[in-house]
Amino acid sequence: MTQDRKRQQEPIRLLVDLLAEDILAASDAEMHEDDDDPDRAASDMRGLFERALILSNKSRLAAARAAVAAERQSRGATPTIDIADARRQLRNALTRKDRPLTMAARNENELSDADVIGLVQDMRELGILPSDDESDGH
Amino acid sequence: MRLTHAEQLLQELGVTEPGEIDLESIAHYVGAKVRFRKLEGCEAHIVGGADRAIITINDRSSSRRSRFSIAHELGHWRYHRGRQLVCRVDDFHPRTVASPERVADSFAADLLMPHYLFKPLARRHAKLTFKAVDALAAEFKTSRTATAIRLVESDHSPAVLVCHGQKGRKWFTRAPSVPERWFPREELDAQSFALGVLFGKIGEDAHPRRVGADAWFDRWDASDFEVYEQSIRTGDGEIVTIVTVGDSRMLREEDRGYSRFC
Repeated sequence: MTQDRKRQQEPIRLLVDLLAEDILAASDAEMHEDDDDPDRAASDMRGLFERALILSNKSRLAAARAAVAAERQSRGATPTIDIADARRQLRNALTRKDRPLTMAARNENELSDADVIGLVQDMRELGILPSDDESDGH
Repeated sequence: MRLTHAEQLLQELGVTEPGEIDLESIAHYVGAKVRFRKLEGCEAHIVGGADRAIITINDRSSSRRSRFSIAHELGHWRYHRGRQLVCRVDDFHPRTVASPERVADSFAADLLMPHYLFKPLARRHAKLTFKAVDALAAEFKTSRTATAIRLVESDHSPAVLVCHGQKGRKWFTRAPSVPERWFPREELDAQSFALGVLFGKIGEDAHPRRVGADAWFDRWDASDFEVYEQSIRTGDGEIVTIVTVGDSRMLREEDRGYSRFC
């Protein structure tokens, strides 16, 4: 989780913690004050706690949704890549063992030119391959 | 019931309704971006480093197909990080051989149709029919086939789901309550209504139809029972049939239960 996301959730987490502290600090008499049925009181408290926790968890999804929308708006144009160079870079990336690479795709020789270029662009964005500017110097 | 990893992830995000299963946001939460662009020769792929990944989905795929593809690639991201796999995202169907694709499919099914949401909604439907399948598929934004598989495997009713092409049976799955001795026939039987649906002689079944169990199961005692069948077309020259067991004697364990000689 990113620091930003953690900060966004902090107020809700504090609320959940306060609620939990309140419940734990209450005496038996206080817990039974408004309700003579201890099972029902416990169940009500559990329900309240669960609802607060779900609300807190939903804020993670809301934060992710906002980040996806922001990312969509900020996406820029992608540079053009020579296909022969792109295939060479992709083959190199697939054979290198010095950094973790996750890939689930067709074999390189089964991929169309457009698909290879797309993969190389993705790898550059992820830092798996050097960016266009960096590779020019080599 | 123990939650699967996909279900735990959904709960971590406070998902309490099918409409909240926003796959791009879920992907972002686990460090993956989703991109849509024209792909030639495959539906989707994923490329990732140590903690970030990009999932690419064919922009010509239907929205339900895309959702399955994103969920499938997230399965690879969860279970196969740091590995290079040759992947072909097929339509979801039960796979018999253990493989990374099966693991990713299973993760996808749990992410798209988590049991803790699916089972209560499925229970609203008294009968296991394609009407129920379609209603659930609309709620979860999943394909008819994937939803039918989920519904059968969740043991809503004692049933077997069978897919046939023109060359015979392609795959099948059964509810846990149906004993393994009820193994569906390889070829469609002339008695079954499904044969007419497959070859376009009759339309899809609007309702289940009663038929002898021996039309579906090649067993010595099958002719003693009846089952209900309902078929739909799922592609060119392909049908999927729900075969529902209506006789509780078929569900008994063989050793202790019914025998035609007693």
